[in-house]
Amino acid sequence: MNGALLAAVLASVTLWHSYQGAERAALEASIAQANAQLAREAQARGEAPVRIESLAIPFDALHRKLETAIPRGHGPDLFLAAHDRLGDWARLGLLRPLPEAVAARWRSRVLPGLAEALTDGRGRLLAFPFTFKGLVLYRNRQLVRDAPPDMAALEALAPAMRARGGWALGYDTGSFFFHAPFFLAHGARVFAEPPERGDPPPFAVFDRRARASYAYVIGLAERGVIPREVSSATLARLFEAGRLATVISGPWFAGQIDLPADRWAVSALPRLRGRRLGSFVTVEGLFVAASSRDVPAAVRAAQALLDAWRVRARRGLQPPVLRSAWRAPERAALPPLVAAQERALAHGRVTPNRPEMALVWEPVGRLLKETLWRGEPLEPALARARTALAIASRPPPPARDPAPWLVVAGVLLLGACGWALVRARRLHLVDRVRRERFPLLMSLPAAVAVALLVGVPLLTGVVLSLFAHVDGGFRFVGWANFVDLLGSRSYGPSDPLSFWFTLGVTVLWTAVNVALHVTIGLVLALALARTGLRFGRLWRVLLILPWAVPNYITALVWRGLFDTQLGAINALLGLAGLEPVAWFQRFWTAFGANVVTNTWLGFPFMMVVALGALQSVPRELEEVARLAGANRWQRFRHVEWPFVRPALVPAVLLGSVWTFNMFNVIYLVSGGEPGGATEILISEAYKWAFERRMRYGYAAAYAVLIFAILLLYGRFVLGGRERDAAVGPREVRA
Amino acid sequence: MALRAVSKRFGATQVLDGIELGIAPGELIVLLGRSGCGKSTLLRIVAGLSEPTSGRVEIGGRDVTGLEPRERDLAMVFQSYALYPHLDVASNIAFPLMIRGVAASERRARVEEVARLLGLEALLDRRPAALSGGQRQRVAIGRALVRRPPLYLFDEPLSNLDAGLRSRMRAELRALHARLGATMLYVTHDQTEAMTLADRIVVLEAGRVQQVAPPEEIYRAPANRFVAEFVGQPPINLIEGEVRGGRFVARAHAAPPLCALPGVPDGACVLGVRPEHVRVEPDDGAGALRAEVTLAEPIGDRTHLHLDLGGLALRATVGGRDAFRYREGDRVALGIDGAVCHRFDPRTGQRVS
Ligand SMILES: Nc1ncnc2c1ncn2[C@@H]1O[C@H](COP(=O)(O)OP(=O)(O)OP(=O)(O)O)[C@@H](O)[C@H]1O
Ligand SMILES: [Mg+2]
Repeated sequence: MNGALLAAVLASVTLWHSYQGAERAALEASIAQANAQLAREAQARGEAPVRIESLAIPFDALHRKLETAIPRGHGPDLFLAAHDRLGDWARLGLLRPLPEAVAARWRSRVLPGLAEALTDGRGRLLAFPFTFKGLVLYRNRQLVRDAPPDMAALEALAPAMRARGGWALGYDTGSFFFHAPFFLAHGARVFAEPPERGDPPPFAVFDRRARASYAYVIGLAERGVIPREVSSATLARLFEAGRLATVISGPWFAGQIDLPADRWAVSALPRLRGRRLGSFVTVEGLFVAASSRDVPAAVRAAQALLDAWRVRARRGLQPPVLRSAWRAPERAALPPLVAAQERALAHGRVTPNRPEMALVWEPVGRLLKETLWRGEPLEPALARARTALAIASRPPPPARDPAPWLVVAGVLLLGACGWALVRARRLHLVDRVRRERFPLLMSLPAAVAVALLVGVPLLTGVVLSLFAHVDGGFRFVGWANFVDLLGSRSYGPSDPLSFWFTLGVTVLWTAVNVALHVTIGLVLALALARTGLRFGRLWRVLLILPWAVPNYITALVWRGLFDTQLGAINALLGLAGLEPVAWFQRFWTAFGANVVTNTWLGFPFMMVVALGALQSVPRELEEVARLAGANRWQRFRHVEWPFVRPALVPAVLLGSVWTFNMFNVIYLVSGGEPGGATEILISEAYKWAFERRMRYGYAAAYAVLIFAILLLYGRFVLGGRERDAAVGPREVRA
Repeated sequence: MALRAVSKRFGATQVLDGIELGIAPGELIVLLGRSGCGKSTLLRIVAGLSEPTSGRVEIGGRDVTGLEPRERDLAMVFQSYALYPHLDVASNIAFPLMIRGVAASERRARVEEVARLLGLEALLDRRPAALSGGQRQRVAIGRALVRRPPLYLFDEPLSNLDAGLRSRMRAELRALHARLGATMLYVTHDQTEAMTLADRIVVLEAGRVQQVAPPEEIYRAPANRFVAEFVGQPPINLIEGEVRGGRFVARAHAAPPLCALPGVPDGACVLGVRPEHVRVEPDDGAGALRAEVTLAEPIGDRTHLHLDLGGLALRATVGGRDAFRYREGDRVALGIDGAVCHRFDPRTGQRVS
């Protein structure tokens, strides 16, 4: 018994995945089937059975866990993940290529295109294709009974839909991924030639055929077939409200629709001039991890799992990858959502997974937003997009010899040590430490915590800013990041992506916000401080509430309120007989939306600070002013303000720093629209690090500059305060 | 200025109870009472800083109840000084002028004048935090004096000054009052201040007016036991007893009658004898009232004696040549002149003439 148990434990194959809901349930059911199958096989061969044990890990954490656990040898045997990080993982040595015999068999068994997506430059198959996701057409059955066969049918729907304030077709018009069906249908390609290793990639996303695809969707928008501006967040709501007859989206959209099942249906994407639209398709691979201790068992288990595809297709709505699954009798049994995705693959293609692909999303998305959302002419926008792509794909700065830097750093360190010694001697530090050993000991944990939590990241950031992230490694580049940033080498100072433009926006953003926070906070504090105010406590609680709600939630709510199609603000404008405003298409309206959101978030803090200060004003001082005949303004100016001011100075400093780095609001409300113009330094740094090909060094240079700016600002403000403190609050001369 | 049946309650506490008070223009009225008797409250009601629960306030013949302070045209010195910590002395004094938009040059002249009067010239550019309590109090007075309203309210403005400065300031205020001819309502718990300053004194206790009279009358003819006890230092001797056959006999005391009260009908009575009216002589063995000195408190020109008259405790004051004559344990002979004694009804405490 014991031996059998041990054998069972040893022979278990662990599988990590990040599926949830129906997909997870279907996976677990298929694992049970595979385990039964494995047991039968083992019995037939007279061996100990192999069992698959699964572990669900949240999507955000999966990649990080894989990258840390596998090299240390306590990773899984198998894991499920999308194909786009394949190159990085192969380079990091996280994967075990499939044995050639197995690979050959599977290449011929799966749908065309899938195995290629999981094959590396040397022709090795790095994972089993597991399933894939493509775009399909959702339709509101009350508006369109049968699947529209082609775009012409959708165009024909447009007038009727326009009459009811809607459109025939909706999709995330600002995203390259959702534009891809039209892009591919025009014969456009992301890369001009079959990529050759080592060569800089010749991009084709702005060539003649691609251009035709952009012109085509602009035409759709002009004819009112599609809305100009719509984001993925609002698609489902517009669809439910009957304002979109059809929607192009992925399988996940089905879970977002809050309509009875008989009111909507799914079909393959329509045809365009006789050619069916396909989409970019993401392939899920079943990877054998390098940490697997028994690769043959893992491979056997993986194949058993792949063969148990039916339950995943029916219950998890995951398209199967086997060719056999798509032949006559089987095919008919597949749910429409699954079948439609196969069409997307057959007529589309797997999303290229070359590292350069990461550079393409933003410029194309920007081009689409400029032309579709804002109606700017195509040619200049194309020219700008080409430049942006050229800059983004420029090779990283050349490596520098770190030796002189190390020497300088060493000298500086020595100097700092020497200075510290001199100071210590002058302040009799040794004596003091001896005398105050206990208090120092008590503050040691805090000091260590600060050193670790503040000091280490700060130092790391500074060091990182001298490096460039190249192909998964770091290259020392000296000043290059700073020279590029401060010298506006990539973008002219007036370009929204340049450091100086963003700095200007950030300073404006901070100044406007803090001014509004202080003004509104002060006015409300004055109102609340009045004795005898009815429901005073209630008001106080209500007004502090915006502060108590997590700011990303508030930001998302305001984002929704400002939505062009569904937002309450445009609805109110409509009631007042005004035109709806596309808030995020112009700088000032987008900036204004950000400011409104952040003002909502920021005034309670200033209000609380001012209220506290107001309550410390002795009543007699007010009374003296009343006796002297002061009006409300004079009482504020001469009595309350001198008390409030010293309390507000540190609050303004804090508020400025928070606002200067208020990432959440910018990221969630305007998202930098239009075209990155409302980005602030911190959100721009984020984009460089995480959305533009992991330029960590460049982002770190932003962070270092932000730190330097705030440090100077803080010194300036507190310096003024110290002067103040020396003479008390500012005088009101008689 | 007049108060008509003014009452004030804070929740369940009745602080002022039907105050009636009429003040003639140009009068200097001193409100005298113990701590917590409602003096400040009364002043704040006059100033318009708080509203009476009932009753009316009239200033210059006009009903001002419910009017804002600034519409009452008065100046007030607060008990707590209420100086602006962020302003220097000059600006503090000039504050009412600045609020009323008086020109800077005139402001400066008036501030200098007031500063000279109060001896604040050297302190004009200091902040209140850098002043002593007495200096702050003078700044607070200066801020009231810098304007020339027809009515001034002072809430214990001299409480923090040393004796010399206080008497000088009293004289200054008196002179100022004479010169300005303004009506002043002055709050204090210090009877000397009340006596020296007042045209009339209002004695306040438990939210009621006990007596309104010129200082001399307050001393000579206290309207009730409270006034008698409150005014006069050391306090009056109040002796419970009865009048029998034109003589007063103390109840707690089996000794001979204390004094003759010719023509006074028999009956229970409280006798008030001011210590300075107790005649003290060396004991020659002949007098009827003989006592022992239990404590002698010399204060310079006078000595307060605590006496034990066969179990009855009495206070007496001796002065002049006798100032240092008696020691503890000395036996003395006493004499009390019935003509200068006050009689009070033992039940109501009211004066009986
Ligand atoms: N806002 C208030 N709420 C409740 N009770 C109060 C309030 N203000 C004053 N009192 C009470 O009213 C009474 C009179 O107070 P007031 O300040 O008028 O005394 P005062 O005569 O000026 O005493 P002092 O000589 O100590 O200044 C006190 O018993 C005080 O506790
Ligand atoms: Mg008082």
